[in-house]
Amino acid sequence: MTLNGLGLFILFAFALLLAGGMIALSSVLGRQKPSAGHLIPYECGIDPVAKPRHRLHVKFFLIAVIFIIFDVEVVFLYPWAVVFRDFVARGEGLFVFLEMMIFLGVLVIGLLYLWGRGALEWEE
Amino acid sequence: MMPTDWSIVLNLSLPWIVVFAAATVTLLASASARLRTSPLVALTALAGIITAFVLSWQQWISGSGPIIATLAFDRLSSFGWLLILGIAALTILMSFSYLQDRHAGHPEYYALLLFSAIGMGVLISGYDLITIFIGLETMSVAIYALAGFFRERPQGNEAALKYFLTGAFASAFLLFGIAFLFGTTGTTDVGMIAAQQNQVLSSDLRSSFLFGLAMLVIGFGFKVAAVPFHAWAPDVYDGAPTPITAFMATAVKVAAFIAFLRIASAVLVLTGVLWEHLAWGLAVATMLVGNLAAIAQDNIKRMLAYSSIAHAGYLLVAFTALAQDPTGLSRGILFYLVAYLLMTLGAFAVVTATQETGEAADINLLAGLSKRRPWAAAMLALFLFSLTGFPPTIGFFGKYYLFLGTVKAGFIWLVVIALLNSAISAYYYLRPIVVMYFHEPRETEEKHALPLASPLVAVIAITAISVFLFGLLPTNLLAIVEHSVMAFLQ
Repeated sequence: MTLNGLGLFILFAFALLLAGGMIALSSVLGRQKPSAGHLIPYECGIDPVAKPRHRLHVKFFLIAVIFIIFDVEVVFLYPWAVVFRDFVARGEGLFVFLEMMIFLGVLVIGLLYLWGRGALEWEE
Repeated sequence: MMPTDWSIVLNLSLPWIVVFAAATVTLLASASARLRTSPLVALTALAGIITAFVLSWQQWISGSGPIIATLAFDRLSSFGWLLILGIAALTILMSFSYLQDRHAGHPEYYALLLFSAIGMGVLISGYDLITIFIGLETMSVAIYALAGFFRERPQGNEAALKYFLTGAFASAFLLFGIAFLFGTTGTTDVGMIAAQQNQVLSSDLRSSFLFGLAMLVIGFGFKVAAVPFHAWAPDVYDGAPTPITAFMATAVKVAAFIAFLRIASAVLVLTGVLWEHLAWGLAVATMLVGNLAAIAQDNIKRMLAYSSIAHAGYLLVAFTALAQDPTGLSRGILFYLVAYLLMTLGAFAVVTATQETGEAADINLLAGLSKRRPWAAAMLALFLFSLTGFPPTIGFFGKYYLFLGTVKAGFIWLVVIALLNSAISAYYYLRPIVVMYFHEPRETEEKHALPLASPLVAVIAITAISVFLFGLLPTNLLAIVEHSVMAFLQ
């Protein structure tokens, strides 16, 4: 095992010990008096005003899926933008640029489809 | 990677670009309310496929191209791509009346089909494990959606969900395997892995490398539905729309088997006796479970699902002996794939025809088919005889070349088991024929059914003629297969 691995192991063991120790100590030292007040969710002392499981409108699901697609697009654009200068310096700028434009083009086709099918209309 | 001549790459990947363009047009047409119901959309998709078919046929004729970056443009790729495009074209023809009868002419269906075909093309030509993985996922994601395309059908939803969850799990295995291979060899290029293999196998990375290979085999075993990774197949094949079942049973298997052939003949065979034992076990288990479970099926789609599992087993028989005679057995495997796809597509086309406008696929519904639709019944009988492996059909020559090569390589007992399995398969393949010709229909059904849609008839005719013609004269097809195999093994 390398030194790095050992350090990681020690960190892991320490974290386990700390978290486990807190739970163990509180179950040994703490007083066990379950009451209705103890069992409600803790919201900084205020009584909870709503159930934690809301019913959400199904439209949010579609929006979430669409969001993921364009989120991934942005995530991919960042590293591309960071290394773009290096590629330009090596004379491969045009190639890398076109490659990203193809990727974006494919996503634009997807966006056009969503638009045409009315997936972006909230009121209906 | 940059200074390759891009005009060459563009030229070589032109068939894919054509299919992609057709898929894009289809998808955008489905966004317009006016074009959504137009039959032009299916024709666009079909035209794209046929154009790509012609282009790749020309590529095949002009010989093997180079391996550029992560894609191999050899004749094996062109051949596999031709098979995929052929299947896609026949599936579109099959789907046309199927969708119309169910008032579900959504153009997304065709777009997804084309996207899936592109994924298969990448899977077949991939010469880098990451590219292969991307191809596999592109193929699968489109098929997950297609399996549950009729959202109102609970069985369709069940099929899509089961296929998606287990498929994603299998993809994780594949990716895990790729990670281990990359970790032990430092590359994902298939050729470079093969070149380093002996060195890695004798080093202390041996077990990690073998672990990676095993994970890879699991990933592919899932896609081709080899036992013990087959449990999804019957439910998914049963719940999906019948033309999509046909597409899954043929195109997915062809693409996965050709990619697997590429990896197996480059990498897996070098592990020697280890691979032989593994493939031996997989082949025997797949054949036995497929054939024995098929006997108990009363639903013809489920029966064909288990039959496709059994056929994957026959193909794995040849994979076992791949090290001894790479050329002969690769030839046998490719020929068998052609045979299998023709007879399976044909059988599913007839099943589509017998389903009329419903979804039921119970075997007893075939009763009296010989009187209601004599031609369809005769063709189904032909396909089932071919699947069993009776002589004047392509199924016989498929099995003949496959098993002959394996016997020559010295796996006599394996072939004995395979032949016994073929004998078992006769039991369930002949049962629908008995039902069609000798059972009386239960109720007072109308004696004369409506004429079948002409695209569906075309599919049945094309597959039936091919099954019969290549069954009588297999030499031309064998020569094409032989040329496809030679380049990639050099």
